[in-house]
Amino acid sequence: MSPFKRWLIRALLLSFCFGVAGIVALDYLVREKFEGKKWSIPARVYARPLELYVSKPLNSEGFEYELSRLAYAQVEKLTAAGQWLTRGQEYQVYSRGFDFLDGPEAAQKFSLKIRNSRIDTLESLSGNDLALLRLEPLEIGGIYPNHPENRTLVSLLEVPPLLGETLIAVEDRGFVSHFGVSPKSILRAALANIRAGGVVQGGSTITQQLIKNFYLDSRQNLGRKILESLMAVLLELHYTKAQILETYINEVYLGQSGAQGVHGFGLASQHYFGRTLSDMDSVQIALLVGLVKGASYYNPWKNPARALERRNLVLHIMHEGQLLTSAEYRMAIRRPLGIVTRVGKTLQPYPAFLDLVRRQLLQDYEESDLKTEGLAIFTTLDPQAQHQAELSLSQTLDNLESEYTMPAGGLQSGLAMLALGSAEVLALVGDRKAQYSGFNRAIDIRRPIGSLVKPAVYLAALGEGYSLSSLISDEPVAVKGPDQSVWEPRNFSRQSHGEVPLYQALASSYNHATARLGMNVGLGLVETTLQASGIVRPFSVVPSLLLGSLELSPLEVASMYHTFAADGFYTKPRAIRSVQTPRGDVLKRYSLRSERRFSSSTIYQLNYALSLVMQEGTGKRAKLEKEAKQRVTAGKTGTTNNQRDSWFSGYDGDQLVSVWVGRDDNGKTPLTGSTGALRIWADLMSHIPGRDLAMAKPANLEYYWVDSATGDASGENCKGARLLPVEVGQQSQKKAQCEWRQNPVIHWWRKVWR
Amino acid sequence: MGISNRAVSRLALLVFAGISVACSVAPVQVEDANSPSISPPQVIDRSAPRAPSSSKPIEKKAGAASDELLRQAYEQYDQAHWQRAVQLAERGLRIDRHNANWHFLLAKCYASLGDSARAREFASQGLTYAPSGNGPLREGLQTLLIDVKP
Repeated sequence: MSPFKRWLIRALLLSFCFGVAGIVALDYLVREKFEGKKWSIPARVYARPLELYVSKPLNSEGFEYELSRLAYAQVEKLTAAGQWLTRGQEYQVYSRGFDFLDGPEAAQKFSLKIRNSRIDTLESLSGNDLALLRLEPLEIGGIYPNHPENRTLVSLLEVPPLLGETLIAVEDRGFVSHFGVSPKSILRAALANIRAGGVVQGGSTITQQLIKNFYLDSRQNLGRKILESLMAVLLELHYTKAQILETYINEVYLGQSGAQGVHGFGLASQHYFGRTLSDMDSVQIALLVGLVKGASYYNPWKNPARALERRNLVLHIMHEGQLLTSAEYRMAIRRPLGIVTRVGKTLQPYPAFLDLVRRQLLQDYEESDLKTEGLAIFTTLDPQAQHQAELSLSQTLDNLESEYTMPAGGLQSGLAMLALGSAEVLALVGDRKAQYSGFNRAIDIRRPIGSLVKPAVYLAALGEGYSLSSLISDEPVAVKGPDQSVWEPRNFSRQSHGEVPLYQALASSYNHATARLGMNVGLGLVETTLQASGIVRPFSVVPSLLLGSLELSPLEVASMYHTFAADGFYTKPRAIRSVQTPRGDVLKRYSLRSERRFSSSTIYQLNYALSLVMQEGTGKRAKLEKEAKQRVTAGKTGTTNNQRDSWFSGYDGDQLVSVWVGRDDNGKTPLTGSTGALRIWADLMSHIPGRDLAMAKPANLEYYWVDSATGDASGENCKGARLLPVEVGQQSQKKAQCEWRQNPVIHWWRKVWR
Repeated sequence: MGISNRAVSRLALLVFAGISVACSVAPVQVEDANSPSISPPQVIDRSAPRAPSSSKPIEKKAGAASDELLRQAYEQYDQAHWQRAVQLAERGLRIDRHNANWHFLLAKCYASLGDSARAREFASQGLTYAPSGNGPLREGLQTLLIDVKP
């Protein structure tokens, strides 16, 4: 053997060895990634499900908004889940089913009527009364990893068979029989490309496309094509066609939502149609499959005509492949694209709320788990309330700037809304541009709360034997501090009001009277009252605390007022109900926990006084409209020095809203609590259905007529008499002089006939 | 057609009252006014303040939803599925937060789960809302408070 031949054989043997080693290494790579954790799946976040039952506060605008966000289609006749129609006053809905933690809710057809912002009737369309039902929860966003991919994993069992068949018909007819590459397809594509004088057709099989998307990048050259083909063959050697197709269905790029790529058909069906993949019909499947060729080029929102043409081409292929009958095909090509509206179609529509969810989750989970494990987070967000809160806040700020001729955009605001009783966070707005995910003013601002602190002072006093009729002087007051400085608060009107009953001092927000009352009961007691109401942040216990020098966020204020509104029971505000694995197993439930912090009788009296704030005090300016006009509410205004902060916190029987308005640079504004924050509160409450504030009257309280000037016992027909709740035994035994309001006979006569 | 009995009695009262008032110079006694929990206070010559009300006509109407949930929740409770019963009870409270039946059930579930602190919290809260006329419910809540040691 010549030396040349020897060298040649050696070289060939060496190359063979390298080749084998390379293939073994490649095989390892292919298997390692395919069998390992293929993707990082972000946590999905859901709003609360809408509960429906007779008497539920609900208005038509809110209901239709919820249906539209859930991508229910308005139709003439209910034929499939996810549709609704109206007949006069009646709504008919075909709900989608959902597996809730406490049991499944089946898809069903039902009707409901709304009257006076309440559900009046609720029936299944088979004619039976329905006690209650739930719509599925709206997906409101996710907690995304840094890499820009997003997907909803689906198993092959959840994939409509037609989708797989269409994919194969359009992308790779020989998928079932080839071994990863299809020489026939490559030849056909090569001929087409030569004829066209450029690349017009790809010869890649589904397996090759998967290799390219899953293992390689988008660069194209001969070497990479060979690598891709080799890997495709290796993949086919180890895995079944079903496994390869399932991975492809979850991997393929199908669109863009903001900075996030929409990958896989599971997410794409939600993205384009707002529905799960199993709900897709043939026409929707055709569009989704059509997007595989180029999701940006065929983007149905940007290029609807192009997308329609592509969809119809896919429908044509389906028809040719006998996946559709001629009749079905003819009907299908006439249908519009039917995609959801693009308005509000962002992955993170509620940044302030999602920020809170994330913070609460991080107390229990690692950030990496939230971004990769595909957890399902069920939250408390009420999309209707959130939507209205955003509207009320931004529109009112615009109006205020215009009315007070302030520079546009100078005012900012933060708002927190809680459900009464559960303290679930229904809505959170952190910026007048609610979609802006920057500084979250609902949680992160720290502003002096001004007169919002006063209920704590009065609550402390009521617990110390004062009653609402007790008199307190509103004459100027001066308090010497530990550093010898003298604190001299002033009334907003710069006037004093003499001896005033407690209810009036609170309703009219008198500073002198409140400061005096606070000093009488002691700063320490006011401090513990504030802590008992839910303030956990440390604050300075100085005389100015009595008029609200402590700095809080709207959410902290909401938490504090929730304790007042919820009959003295403290409940920590919650934004999350449960966390589940992608398989639906419960990881954690955030269950309700309430703790009594104040006695029923002091809280009842406080709420009575806070309802007077709305009827004759500083909250009187609240212009509640529609059915809210008649609603019994309670609340308190707050204004700080130089009107830098305008606050309002108030509630009805269902929900509590705390609002701050001011400037980010802490500049002066022309606004008080009642001319600023109260306006947002009133607008929101006017558009959100709710019920009267209802308080259970404790047995040890009775209503007595009390003379407001002296606090002594009076009568219904006496001038200056007020009916006030007083603890039995605490009522004054001394009778006030009575000056009749009207002739007692006439009064008595009228009473008899009333 | 004669004069109705009611009119006669009102006339008699009027005469009697007229005599009484004419003979009296003392101010009107403190009246035992109706609690605003039943009817809001009516104050003559000015807009009447409407107190927080505890009349619950709405809750009465929501009864069907509450009843159905309560049935489902007790079904779970009877099968010792305490956590499921808790979830249903919390759902019930979101519908009707003043219904002490939910607090009672929650207290029983947490007592069964060994969380005595929470059981006592709910029993105590239930007593705030249980109507005075509902003896068995109040008794049940009180018994729980005694039986479940802190």
